[in-house]
Amino acid sequence: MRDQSFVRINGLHKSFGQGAVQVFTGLDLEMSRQDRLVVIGPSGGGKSTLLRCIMGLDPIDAGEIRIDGKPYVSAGEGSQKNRIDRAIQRQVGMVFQHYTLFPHLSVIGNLILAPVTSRGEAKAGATQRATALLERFGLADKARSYPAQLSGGQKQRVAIARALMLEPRLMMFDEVTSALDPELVVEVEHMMVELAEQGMPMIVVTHDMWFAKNIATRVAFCAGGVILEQGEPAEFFSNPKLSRTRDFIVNVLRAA
Amino acid sequence: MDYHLNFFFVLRDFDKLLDGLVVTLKLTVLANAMGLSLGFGVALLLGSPVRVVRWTATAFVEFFRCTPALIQIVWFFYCVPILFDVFLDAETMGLLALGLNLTAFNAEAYRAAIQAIPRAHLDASIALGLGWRARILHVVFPQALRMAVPVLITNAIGCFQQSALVALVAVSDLMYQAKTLSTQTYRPIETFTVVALIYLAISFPISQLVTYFERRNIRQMGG
Repeated sequence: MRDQSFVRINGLHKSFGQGAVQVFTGLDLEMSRQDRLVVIGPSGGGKSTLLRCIMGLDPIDAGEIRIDGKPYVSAGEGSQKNRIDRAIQRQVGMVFQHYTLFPHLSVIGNLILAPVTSRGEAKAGATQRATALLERFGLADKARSYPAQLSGGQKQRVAIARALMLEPRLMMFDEVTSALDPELVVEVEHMMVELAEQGMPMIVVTHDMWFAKNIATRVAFCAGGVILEQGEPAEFFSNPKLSRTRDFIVNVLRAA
Repeated sequence: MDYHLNFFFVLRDFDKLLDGLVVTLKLTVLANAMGLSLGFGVALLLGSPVRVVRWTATAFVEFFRCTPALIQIVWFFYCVPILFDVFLDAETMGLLALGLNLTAFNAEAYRAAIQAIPRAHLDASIALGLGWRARILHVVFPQALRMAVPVLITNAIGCFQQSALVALVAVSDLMYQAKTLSTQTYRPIETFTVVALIYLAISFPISQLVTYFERRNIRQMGG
């Protein structure tokens, strides 16, 4: 049975510049623990902002985000500050478009930084886990390298591994292959497919329609401040209900 | 001109110059210890979201950057004791003036370096659940230090030269010993030539490090 309320977003409002630019005007979204949700939509439509709100990086104006039925991010009455449950936040992992590896730390150093400093894990134990993780994703020989010595694809795989070190219950990917040369996309995609096969719940913002069609369990079209349309990939791509969704899909597929 | 250079007296009392050099180096090293650590703290205050904190830090930095170091030293030596009724020994007062001066200059170097750290690193730190202490200690400071190192070394050399000013308030540094020696021997040309060479011999190799670190930064800071 699908449990629908692993992540549940209710009435999300978000604007930039004191309301000058409305990004979300009452966005609702739900996903189960079995879901791999791909969010697509026009640029400027708020896909990345959605992930940033779920990560707790951008404050929301109104509404709430629940994980496992527990309040996670809520706008908070009157006051401007959001209430964020830090314990839940630590269970959410996120990977960004531009790697954001720390250039002064080696690959291993990047992987063990958060476990050692924030979770108080012993350095030896964390290093062991990191080594095993790198081995699993074919990066073992890069353990002592520095980010500047890696290719874009390798950097992004290290960034994913770094997020996995915290054993997240939800992984979010924000256009992680968009900055990569085409021949490097595959190796990152491969890693995400492996995670998907192991049952990692994920929210993926991407222009990669292959991933959306073949790996996603659900596709959501984010535009005009809300989720306009969503569904299972086969249905979503072959039979979109709204003309706006259809136009977008046609344009994206033509570009690809 | 029939002046005959004679380095005999200078070299005879070379041990006095060396004693002075030890004091100069001690002042420089301690002032740098102050400047490197406090400077980073002040740089963080310069970027504080609290206006009063930011303004206080800015006032501190601008006071030390916009007044002559000589006046700062004299001020610490003569004015602080009168105004605040504190007087530690001459060497400590000189060190305070030099150290705080360097703190101000280094704070500016750190501030520029901190601003050059991509904002995305802050996002990544939050996504990784790093607390503010871990973020400053393990993400901001190491990167800021690396980027600021060429300027910090330049400032360190400046501080080494500037330390000569403490001779004015009777700290027996290299410059003070030189003044004494030149008066005793009536050989200012020889004395100050030798002393200049000592300053040069120490500053020059360190200044070469600047180029090295600049190249290294260009090589490594992609990521």
